[in-house]
Amino acid sequence: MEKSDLRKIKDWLWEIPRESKPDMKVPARVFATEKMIEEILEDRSLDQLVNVAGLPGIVGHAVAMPDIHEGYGFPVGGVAAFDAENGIISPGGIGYDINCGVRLLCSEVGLPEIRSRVPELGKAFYQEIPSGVGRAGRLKLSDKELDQILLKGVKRMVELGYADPEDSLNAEESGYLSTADPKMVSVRAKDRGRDQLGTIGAGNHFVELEEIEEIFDKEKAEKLGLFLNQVVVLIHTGSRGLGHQVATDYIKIMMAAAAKYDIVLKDRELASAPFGSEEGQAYFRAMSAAANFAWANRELVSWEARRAWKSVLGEKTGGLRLVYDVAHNIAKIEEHLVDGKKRKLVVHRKGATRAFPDQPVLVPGSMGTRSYLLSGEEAAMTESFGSSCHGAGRRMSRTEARKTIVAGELKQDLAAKDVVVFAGSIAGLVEEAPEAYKDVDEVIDVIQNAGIASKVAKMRPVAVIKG
Amino acid sequence: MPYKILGHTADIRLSVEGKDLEEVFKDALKGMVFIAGPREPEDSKETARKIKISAGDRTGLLVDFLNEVLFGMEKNYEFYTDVDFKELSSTKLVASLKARPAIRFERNIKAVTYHEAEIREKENGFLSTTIVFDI
Repeated sequence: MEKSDLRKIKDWLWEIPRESKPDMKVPARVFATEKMIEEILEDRSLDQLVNVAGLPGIVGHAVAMPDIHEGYGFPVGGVAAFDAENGIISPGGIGYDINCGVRLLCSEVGLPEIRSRVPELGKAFYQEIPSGVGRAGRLKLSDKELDQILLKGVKRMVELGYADPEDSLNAEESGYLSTADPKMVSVRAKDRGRDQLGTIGAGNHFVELEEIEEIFDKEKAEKLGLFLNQVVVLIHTGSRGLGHQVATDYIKIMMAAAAKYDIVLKDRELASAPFGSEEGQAYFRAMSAAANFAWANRELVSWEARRAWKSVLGEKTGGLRLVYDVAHNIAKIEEHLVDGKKRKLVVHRKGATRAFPDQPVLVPGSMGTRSYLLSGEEAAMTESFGSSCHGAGRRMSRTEARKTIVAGELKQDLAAKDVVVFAGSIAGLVEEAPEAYKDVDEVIDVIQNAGIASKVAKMRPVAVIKG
Repeated sequence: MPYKILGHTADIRLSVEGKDLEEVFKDALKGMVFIAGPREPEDSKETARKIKISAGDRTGLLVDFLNEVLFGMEKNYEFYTDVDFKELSSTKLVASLKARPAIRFERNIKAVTYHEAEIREKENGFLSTTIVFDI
């Protein structure tokens, strides 16, 4: 892919016209500045976006967010909507970590009131919340118990006493998809997830204590119960091994299905089946179950965070209330206007967040940089199937990060920024250093300029817990 | 020839090569375990884990083999130092993995992907492929 293949529409929007590449069924659109486009062209993410634009039943545009980077099959930071009657569903368009997502909990205190307790809080969070690879969660679920979680997500956690009843009001889809069918999830997937509920894993997953550093929209912030200097908790994790195995299982099934339905695949990871087919429906129901597992996972992590918070600060400072929970690897059945007509679509968001008007949108940066709370805007419905970005987006490979970033210097840099870090793996920490990521501020500016979502608040980390 | 770890923006790309299928599979196993970075407890003992896998072609068989390894590492908290093949064709393998316990892993490999995977014969007659791991 060359820069000359792209046509600039606005300062923050570029298009690869449908006619420019063979097999494209719709144009591909990229929300990015010219500087970002040059960075994006360094990997194969736009070639992957073009491949997506050629899949059966795609409508409108294949959309890329400013945090796009190369994935497998589909790029990460992409949105693709397929007609529910004539289009496909593809596990690669959702990703291996089904319903990887972010949730924000808010406290009732400002940082100045508890500043001296932050290291103690960070340590309590690290001890209470299992992180890393090989640390099991506190629950070992039987088949029956696991099936209830796969069916009901957050609702089940409320029933079990691990969640505040109000939590389900403040999560995308109320924290569960009714389309889940645990029977469509393999024994192997269940075995991988059985002892992983309430764990964050490793890689880019984290729990962070943050301070609200800046408020851009006072009215919206107040409505969400947020104020300047408030201590909040950001949790980033997904469906763990259970979701990874669901994706692995169904990519294999879909590779066979693609041949059965005459779907030509340029990459095996684009494996797909008609949404209405037996294979398509089986995957959608299994994916919904894995999504429910992820919501339950973030809920149990929240329960652990609430416990750690109280163990350090007691009852006087109040608890942690869920502000909102968003998924950024998921497929949803939604109605959108396409060429002026309302159509039922299977919207794939892989590294992209739903951003319906007035909905909170959570965009974590990297540790040491800022995270944002946005509010979805009307233009998202016409420009990006009601979707926004999901993070800063990586710009440096893990191997390069290990070669160029020195662990000691990274820790010193973070300490200089008043960030305390609790990490199980120093090498893993280095791979997630701020330098390995794009500038989140630039990503957010593109989203705001495009009218997809507007800034509500900016947060800075004060304690980082990683696997 | 030993495996090579190559760059990938978000995940990890592994390049493997061997004079035959067995060498490719063994090399890929070693590369994958290196990426996962297991930490072994003291006084651990080696055990054997038997596996049997079928797939449509040799590339699919390699990806399925590595996914089997991933499942074993995550489910049984163990890692594998080598593999002995009782049978290995383009579509089927029967093997025994040499397993050692792990107390934790440096990296969380979410999945072994088919992205860029294609076992090809090189001009020198060696077989090679790239495997991308979702991290």
